[in-house]
Amino acid sequence: MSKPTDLVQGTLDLLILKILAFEPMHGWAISQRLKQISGEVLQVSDGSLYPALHKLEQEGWITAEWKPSENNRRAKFYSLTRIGRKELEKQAADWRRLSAAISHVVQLKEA
Amino acid sequence: MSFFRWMYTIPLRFRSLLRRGQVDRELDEELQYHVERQIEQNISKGMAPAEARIVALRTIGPLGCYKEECRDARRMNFAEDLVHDTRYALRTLLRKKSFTSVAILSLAIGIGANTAVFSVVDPLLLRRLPVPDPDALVLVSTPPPQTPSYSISYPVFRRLQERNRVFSSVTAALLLGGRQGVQARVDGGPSELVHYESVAGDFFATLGVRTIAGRTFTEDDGRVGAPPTVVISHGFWMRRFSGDPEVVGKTVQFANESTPSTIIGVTPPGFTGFDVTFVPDLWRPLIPSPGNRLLNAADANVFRMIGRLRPGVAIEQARAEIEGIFQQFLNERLEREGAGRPPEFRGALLSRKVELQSGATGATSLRLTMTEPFMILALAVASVLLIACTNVGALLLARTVDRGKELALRIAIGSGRFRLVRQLLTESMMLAAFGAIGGLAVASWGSRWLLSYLPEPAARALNVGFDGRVLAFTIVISLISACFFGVIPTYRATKRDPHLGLHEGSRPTHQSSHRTLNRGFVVSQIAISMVLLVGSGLLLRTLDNFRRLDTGFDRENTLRFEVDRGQARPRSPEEWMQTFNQLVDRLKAYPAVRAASVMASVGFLRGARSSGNVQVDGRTPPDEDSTCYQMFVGPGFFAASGISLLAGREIEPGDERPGARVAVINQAMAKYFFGHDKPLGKRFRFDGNDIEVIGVAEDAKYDSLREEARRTFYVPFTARFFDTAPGPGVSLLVSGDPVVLAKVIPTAVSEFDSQLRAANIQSLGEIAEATLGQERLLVQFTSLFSGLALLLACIGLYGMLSYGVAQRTREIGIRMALGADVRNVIGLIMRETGWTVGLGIVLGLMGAFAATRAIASYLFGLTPTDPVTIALAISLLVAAAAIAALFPARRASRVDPLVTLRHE
Repeated sequence: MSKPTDLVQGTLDLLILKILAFEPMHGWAISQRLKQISGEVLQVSDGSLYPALHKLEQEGWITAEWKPSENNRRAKFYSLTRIGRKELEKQAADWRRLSAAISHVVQLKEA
Repeated sequence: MSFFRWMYTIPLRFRSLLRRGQVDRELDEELQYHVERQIEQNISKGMAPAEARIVALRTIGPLGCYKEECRDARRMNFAEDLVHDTRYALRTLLRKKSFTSVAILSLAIGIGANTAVFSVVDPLLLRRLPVPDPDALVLVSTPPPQTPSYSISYPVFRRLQERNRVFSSVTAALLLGGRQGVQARVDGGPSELVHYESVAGDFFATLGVRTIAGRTFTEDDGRVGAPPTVVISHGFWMRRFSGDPEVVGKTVQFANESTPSTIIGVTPPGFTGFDVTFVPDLWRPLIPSPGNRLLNAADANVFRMIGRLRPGVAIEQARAEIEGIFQQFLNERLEREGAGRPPEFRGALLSRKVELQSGATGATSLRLTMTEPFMILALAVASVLLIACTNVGALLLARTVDRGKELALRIAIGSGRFRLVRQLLTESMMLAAFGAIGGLAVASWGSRWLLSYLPEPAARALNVGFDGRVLAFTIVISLISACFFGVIPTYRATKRDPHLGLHEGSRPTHQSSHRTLNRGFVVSQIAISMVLLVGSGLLLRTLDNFRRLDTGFDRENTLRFEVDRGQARPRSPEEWMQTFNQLVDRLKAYPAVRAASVMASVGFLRGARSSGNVQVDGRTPPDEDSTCYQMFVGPGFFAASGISLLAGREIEPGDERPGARVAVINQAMAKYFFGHDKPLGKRFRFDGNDIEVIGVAEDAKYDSLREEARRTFYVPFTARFFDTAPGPGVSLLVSGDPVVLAKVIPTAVSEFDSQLRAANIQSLGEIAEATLGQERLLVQFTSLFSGLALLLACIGLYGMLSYGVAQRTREIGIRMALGADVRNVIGLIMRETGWTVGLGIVLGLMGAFAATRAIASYLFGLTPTDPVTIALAISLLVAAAAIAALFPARRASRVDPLVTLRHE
């Protein structure tokens, strides 16, 4: 049972935004997609996804809509907003910079 | 960008707040959906349904926790806590009814008094005119030396209008005439009183106001012989025409005018010209008829001028140019009129100054007299609020100390400090909110009371009700108060170590530090009350001094009135003179009338007078100033006014005939010019005439009750005061029993001539009283506020002492068990009271010495350090404090040592 804090801070937000950038999805589908794309590397318990989703919705980066799902039941679909897309670009750029810097440090040979 | 984001996120927050139920249900449904899909997936992988469910729930994690986190994400808990805190605060406040009612009452009085003063000060002094770009407006005036005023004369206005290049347009409003109200028939209806303003120049363009129907005045409307026109105000249009859209073209027929005036336009709502204390029904263009003395006299300051600066022109620039034009105007006058005049004339003329000041808030002569009194009142009410806040603060402090154990327990079991502070602050905020509501009720009544001290047209104009600005003021001062009295106790309550607080029966050090703080509160309350008591005492004694003052004239038994000649057929001044002489004779025939006379209504505390230089052959006055005041009085004036004659005779019938040239002079003038010589039969020169002194009269007050006796001479009243042009009118004086006279005069006048009416019947005492408007306003309200301050301070003292007694019951019990008797115990309480009150009085006296200087100019017949007043204030305070201390002391004396000791 891992919490989002076990991930690098803020990574879960970035992943959710990235996943929603392709198409609107409901919570369960997002959790499936998370497992699928990150393999077993990122351990996210399914439930911890929801507080993150609600936070992103309050920030105005994603918006929610109740729609029939693929098995014809009502589900809450999240989609990226215009400012969410901007936020994704910003966070992705930050992440690239940070990860480049860290991998640079990690690859340094010990003298 | 961030704006759009707010637009987007704010509704979401509100949704979370207001539709909590639905949001919660949606959250449940969302998580439920997830679980079911997970179960389906697990079953499809080959698990048994029961197992599928367990595994699904395990993968999803602790649902309850996540739900809470989702609520946190939506800031829902914050809102829930707020509701919770409010409910809890309400419950606590309701449980402590006496605490709550004392707190709310104190706050309501404090907030209400401040709001009431603000509701009058705001429209009088602070609010900007409701016209476009009021900051470009500039008032131009030529006040006489040492006499503040906003007035200017017509010739000066015209000159400035013609020559200046700094104003895009200028206007001037006449301060006489229609402002007092005239009879007129509106749209053919019955005769009624309407108030109007005569305006010169481009009034509406200067103020930037367009009509909502019809047009404004053009230059042609102000020409001599032009058909008369009026523009009516929105209020008058609504009141008198019910907003009739066809109003333009209807007429107003003024009494004594042959041609009806046509209504040509209606002003927008809210516009009342630039005098904030006068709401005209309509405006008329000033017609400068050549024979009008008021318009031709360069010294007749009967107009008020305002101009609109051209874009980009600063007021300093305008001042430089206007001063130049005015100086040139004075030089030209000197050349024209200076020949043959004494050198003082030149000096007096060239010392005239023109003043420019911002016109953004309009103008009113009330500002000259009322700004200071209202500022003093504002300080007084602020002090009352301060006392009220310290009271509530002290009460809350005592409560949080009592709740120390509860608070410590809550901190110990993990309550956040922020959470506790928020809860305690919620209580303060609620107290402030209830105080504000009560305060508005107090203010609506107080504001009306304050306005009743202002002259009638101003009171009506300023009675604008409570608008957004007043409400905003109330909310702001309530919030400031809540922070003030809420923060200290809250901070102290949460600061302490829960470990200490939980120890049974422990009385840690914060107890005594709390007592010190509380005593500090009470000391400062007593000090502030002391300052207010001394201030109001000084003003009270001032008013008393004025009422005892020997004014020279008879205040009680002399009545003054005017005769309304508006409905009478036109007569020549000589005819009028004869009519009035006959009226005086008729009045004298009534048994209730002891004496009657007539005078030009220049004198007696009306603020208008005529004066000039007097020369006496062979006498050089002690200093260069030879100014004397001139009064025009009829035969029998001294008998009617009650001014004693010290030598010689009265003005008698026949003295007014041309060539007689006689005068009665007052003591001050006699002493100044004739020293110890007998003045009777001596002569003095005034305005080219040689005048003989026929009598000497006792000094009397003419301008104000404060003045030193002015050198004055009384000359016979002549027919020229019946001139038809507006100007100083004529008053009749009648002495006798005032109650009987007030009934006799109206019937006597109309029986004498059915076209005449007696108007404005007043005793000279009433006139004197009316000049004390500022003093009475200050006295009434500072007495009220100092009384409230004293009451609140006593409540504070009582609270401190009874709380102290409750806390020290055990100590008192032990003392009594060890042999202290009732007197010792009462002495204990009284000593504490004595120290607190004594310290407060000392500090208050120091404050009073500093603060009463502000009211020094209002005092009369005593100094700001008047020992009688200070002694009275101290004894009042001590007496009140003794009463407040009595009940806690009695309670302490009834402590039963056995009961207390057993309890331990």
